[in-house]
Amino acid sequence: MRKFFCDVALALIVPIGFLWVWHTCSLNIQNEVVLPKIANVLSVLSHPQADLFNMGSLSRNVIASLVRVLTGYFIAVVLAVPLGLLMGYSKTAYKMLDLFFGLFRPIPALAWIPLVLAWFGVASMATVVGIEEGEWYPFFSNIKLSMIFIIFLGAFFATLGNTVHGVRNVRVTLVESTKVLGATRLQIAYKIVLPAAAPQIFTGMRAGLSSSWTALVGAEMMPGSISGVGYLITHAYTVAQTDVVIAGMIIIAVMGKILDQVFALLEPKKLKLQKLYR
Amino acid sequence: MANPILEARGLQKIFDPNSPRTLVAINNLNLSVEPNEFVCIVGPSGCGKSTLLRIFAGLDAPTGGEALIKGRPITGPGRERGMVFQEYSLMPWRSVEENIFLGPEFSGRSKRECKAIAQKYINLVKLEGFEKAFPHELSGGMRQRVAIARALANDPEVLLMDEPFGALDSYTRIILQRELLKIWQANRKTVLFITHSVDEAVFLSDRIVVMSARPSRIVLEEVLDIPHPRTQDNPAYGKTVKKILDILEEEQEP
Ligand SMILES: Nc1ncnc2c1ncn2[C@@H]1O[C@H](COP(=O)(O)OP(=O)(O)OP(=O)(O)O)[C@@H](O)[C@H]1O
Ligand SMILES: [Mg+2]
Repeated sequence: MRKFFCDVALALIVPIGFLWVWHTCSLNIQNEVVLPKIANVLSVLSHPQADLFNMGSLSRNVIASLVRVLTGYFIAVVLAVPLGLLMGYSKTAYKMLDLFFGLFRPIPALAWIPLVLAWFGVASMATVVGIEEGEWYPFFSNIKLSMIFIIFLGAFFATLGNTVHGVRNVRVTLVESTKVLGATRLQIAYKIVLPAAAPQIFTGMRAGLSSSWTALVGAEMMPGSISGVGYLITHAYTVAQTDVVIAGMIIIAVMGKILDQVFALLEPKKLKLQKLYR
Repeated sequence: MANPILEARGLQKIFDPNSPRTLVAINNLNLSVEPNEFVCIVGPSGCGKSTLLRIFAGLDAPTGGEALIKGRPITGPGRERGMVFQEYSLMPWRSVEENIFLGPEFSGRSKRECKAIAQKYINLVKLEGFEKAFPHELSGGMRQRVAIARALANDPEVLLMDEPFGALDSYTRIILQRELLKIWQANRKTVLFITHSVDEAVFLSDRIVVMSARPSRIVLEEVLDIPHPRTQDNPAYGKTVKKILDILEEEQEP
């Protein structure tokens, strides 16, 4: 218990120092655009329902962002994990696809924006599900395909790379010791390779979630975006509301951390066993 | 002699042929193992003992000559040949019993049959009470017991063992050696056992095969008819150990 408080205190020293520097600087600068006071940022954060300069409330924008990230992320995982399993397991698939995806990987998701806009324009999920009006229309029309695609790219490569790596690095002895027990190729794949690679696949999914959250802001800065934390930040900047900008940044940081922690908590106990057995 | 269960005829294994790093691991090796025999292989490090065992297991293919199981060429792994690896080979996400019934599970036995089989071998290797434990909760010796039980649970005719006790302290080692002998005597399996320890070989085997340094062939086959249990105070024991150590020493010299 005492150790716990010590650890918490240790972790808090630098952030508190940081806040103190921020506080003194903002008092000296006396310019809300360059550096707003902590209190002003806090007041934005503490009124999540209040409308911010016709940009909608904080909570509405956070929810819009969350829905986009989860949609793009979900698609990425659904495609990257099976593909990664295939590439990791089949040497032919690996030889065919590794170079191809390896070339796409270094391209930052944001570099895709012009292309993505040209392809998808302002088409949204509303177009995909065929809702043109009604109470759900604003919800779906806010999920632009272009944004989903950018977020998808962010998560896809992190998940794919880790899955391939995980499968290819399954200990040879584990596979061989099942071969000598008379396992078929299929049995080896789903009884040994899949569980053995699972921790790394899980790591990939977690890293993918982080990078899709990172890609979010860029995605929401695109033209046609009228909601989301990224939109809030860009738009608050144009009306010189730096306190809202910083509030948006804090939200991104905290949400990112929360999502990551939730993910870590979801990690099945069985996956942790492998880290213990060396 | 009866028909050998395992046989190597003019066996050759070259790694990376046609490359500057080419390495002749085994050259023209002849060996046969009779059913129910306990054969130990000793030889200098890197001489190709593991390679030979892997060829018999069907995990590696020879580059020349033949490896046979009951007169038929070995083309891949088979249920009649079980193997115990030197390094850890348990599935960390599976409990002790789940590891042991992997073989029966692969051959489509029901969950109940699997559990019953696992229990039998858990008792055999004296791991009662650890059915639900996971590999990371076991000591090194217990892990090797699980690996042995897993190989046995598949009911193979031949047990290929690659320095299974190599990483254990000498006391645990002696206990496991005794247990292995008991299991072998009760189940009449054929065992091909690699070891670094001449002492271990003399304690366990019906016949000791000494391999030369690379490219390896067999330099001595010593049949032991010392009755079990063998003890250090038996003069024949010490004499055999010394004889083999002398030959190995010659082999180590360039
Ligand atoms: N996959 C491989 N590729 C290339 N060379 C190999 C390979 N496997 C083994 N070798 C070489 O073949 C030789 C024999 O190896 P092996 O593992 O059979 O030796 P060993 O007798 O089991 O040695 P130790 O007693 O140290 O375990 C070694 O020189 C090794 O470097
Ligand atoms: Mg070896």
